[in-house]
Amino acid sequence: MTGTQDSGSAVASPTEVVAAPADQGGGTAASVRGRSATSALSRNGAAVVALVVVLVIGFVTVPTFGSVDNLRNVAVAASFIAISSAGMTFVIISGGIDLSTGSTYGSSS
Amino acid sequence: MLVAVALAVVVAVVVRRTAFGHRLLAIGGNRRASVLAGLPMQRTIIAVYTISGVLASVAGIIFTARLRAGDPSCTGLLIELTGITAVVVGGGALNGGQVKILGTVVGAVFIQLLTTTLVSHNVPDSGARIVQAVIIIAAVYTQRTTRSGS
Repeated sequence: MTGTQDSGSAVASPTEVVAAPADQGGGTAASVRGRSATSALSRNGAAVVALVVVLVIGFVTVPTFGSVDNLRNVAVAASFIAISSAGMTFVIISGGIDLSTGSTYGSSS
Repeated sequence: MLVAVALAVVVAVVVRRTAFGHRLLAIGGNRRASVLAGLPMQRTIIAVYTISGVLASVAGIIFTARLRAGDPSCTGLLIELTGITAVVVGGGALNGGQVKILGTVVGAVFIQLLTTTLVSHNVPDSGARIVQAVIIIAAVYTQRTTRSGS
């Protein structure tokens, strides 16, 4: 994985990046899209592609994956991450990084 | 869950529409230039970390309310890395100055889904964390590539 991305960064030939094997679904898709267009939509598209890949893997390999209970549990569990990473988004766009989030999360419980 | 959706909308509006959001993007994009342009640097940074702390504690409180039990020593352990992964997967640049709110939400769901899938395959939680770390490294590497390329 590292080797393919390394070659992509050294040589600015899009064909080489596209030809890279999709061993790491999310990472490769992100690099391809980021190279072709860096607009907001396509970057979001990379994350969506990664999400869909995991969804498909889950549906194929886990029998009870598609049940309403499971999907609801995942959504609820993801919401905690989403809330705390909404704050983290602010910190990261201002150029910093906040390592106290976990401790604050824990000590508020 | 509804709180999360509402917060995502609020964050998106704040960043895209308000002066505070644009100040943030400017500071993240080029800190020195923003200081020279006369932006209130210290105040903004303090506000940002305060917001982050408040949102983290809101998440912790809701989590405790759902679980009806609290354990400060292990509840929020390493969740900051999960949050960072969510933002990075969503396409926010670690150097700042770039943001995708929808991407952050998608990233959060993605991480949770990945962890759940791995755990349901009898992979231990620590294994899921290793995958997370690999994703962070890959995302940072990709960002570096796209930045130097453009």
